[in-house]
Amino acid sequence: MEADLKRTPLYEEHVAAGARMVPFGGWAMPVHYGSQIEEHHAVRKDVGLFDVSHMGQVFVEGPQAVELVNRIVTRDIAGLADGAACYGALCRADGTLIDDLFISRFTFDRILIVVNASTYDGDVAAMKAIETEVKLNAKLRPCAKEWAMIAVQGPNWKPVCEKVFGGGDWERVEPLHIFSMTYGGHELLFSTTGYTGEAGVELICHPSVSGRLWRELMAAGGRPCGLAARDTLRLESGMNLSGQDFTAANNPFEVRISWVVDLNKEFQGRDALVKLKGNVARRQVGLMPEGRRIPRHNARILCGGEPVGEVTSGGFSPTLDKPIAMGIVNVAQAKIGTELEIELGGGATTKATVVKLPFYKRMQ
Amino acid sequence: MDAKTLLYTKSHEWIESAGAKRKVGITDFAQSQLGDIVYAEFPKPGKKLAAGDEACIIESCKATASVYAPVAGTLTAVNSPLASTPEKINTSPLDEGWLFELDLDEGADLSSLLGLEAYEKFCKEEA
Repeated sequence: MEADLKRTPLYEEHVAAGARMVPFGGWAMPVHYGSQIEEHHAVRKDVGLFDVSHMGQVFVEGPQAVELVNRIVTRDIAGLADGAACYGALCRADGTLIDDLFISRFTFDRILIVVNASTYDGDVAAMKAIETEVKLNAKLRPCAKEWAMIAVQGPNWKPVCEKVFGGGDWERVEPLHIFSMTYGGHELLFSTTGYTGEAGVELICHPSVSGRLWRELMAAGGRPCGLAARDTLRLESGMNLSGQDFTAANNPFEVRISWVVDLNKEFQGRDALVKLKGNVARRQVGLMPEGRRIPRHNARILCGGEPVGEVTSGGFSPTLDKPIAMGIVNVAQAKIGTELEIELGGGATTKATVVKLPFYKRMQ
Repeated sequence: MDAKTLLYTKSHEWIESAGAKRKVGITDFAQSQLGDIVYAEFPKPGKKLAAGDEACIIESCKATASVYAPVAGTLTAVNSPLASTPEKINTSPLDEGWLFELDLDEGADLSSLLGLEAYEKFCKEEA
């Protein structure tokens, strides 16, 4: 492990639990604690814990926080209620994606944006440039170092949280909300968001209490899960991985997140996106390979021997017990049911059919 | 299978040290590097292989890996139960997770194979 990798406050917990640590986005992160497949099933059937302290927090504070956030993100958050959270994106002026992110509103003058780890510095720079340009009465406060973050994901997340945080009206806690509470004498942000396709919560807490929180969540039945399970869980759910399923070459319309682009308000990239809407040449698709060979990231997708796209994420789906993939192809090949081929390396290919995403959707 | 009695390659295969027909598999180090294995693809028995030829392909959640013939020979059998239980390669790499059987060519060159001690030393250097 390279010495210059950043460590989350939970690093020692992972090592003690026997995790295999790998570099991810500049951080030393647990990839699994033994079996990524068992961890995947634990999240689908019970409850898993993920250290996501590498993710980045940016607060937007001041009387015009809503207006400033609205200039930064693609999503119109003017109607976002106090205590509500939503998914959105940050674009360049040319409409290409910088990152995807979560926006949570505590009050009109206090909003939290959570961004990806590997893109944090670039996101902050882009947001600050917008802040400087628009001159609103609100301030950005990037503060990733001040927070640890633990995702508790899976159908049994509420009983686990009840054991740790005590009784209460847990039935009333709904998805896509956020509230502030106290834990170990520090503020803890309770955000019912996630990246697994299961119900759950992301607990954003002070680094000094994160170890205690992690151990209490484990004692309450949460199973530590690594990045590998997190990746197969999000892939089954058809969720994008920033920097992989989309890069600086893609706009939101190409990667199935048109629904977070609100063109009837002003934000960075809006004018370019108006022109791009309905005009994309490539589109993201789900791919169901035949057989059990696994297409990998960057594999070429062929149609009649001609390259028509690339796999952006490929892996084994523990829930479906077969390989699955997402890729970006020319729109001519993006129709559901289209039969394509994917290169496997060494001259081998596998047949694959374009399918509707997601591969997995939980029962409501 | 006793790890001490096997011979090893630098590409992390093991092979039995005696007999005309010898079982081949991947080492515990290799399976731990690959993580959860979900599929092994074999050629049809009867395939002739030179030392270092790709003999089969293993898919783990993390990566695709080739397994090479440690020495020259004919692939005479494959561990077909792995089709439904590929995880045996993780849980029992030297026994239930063996991959294929090789009928060694006459005069096959075994001189580049390592004993356990030399192989373990090699893994430490590589890790």
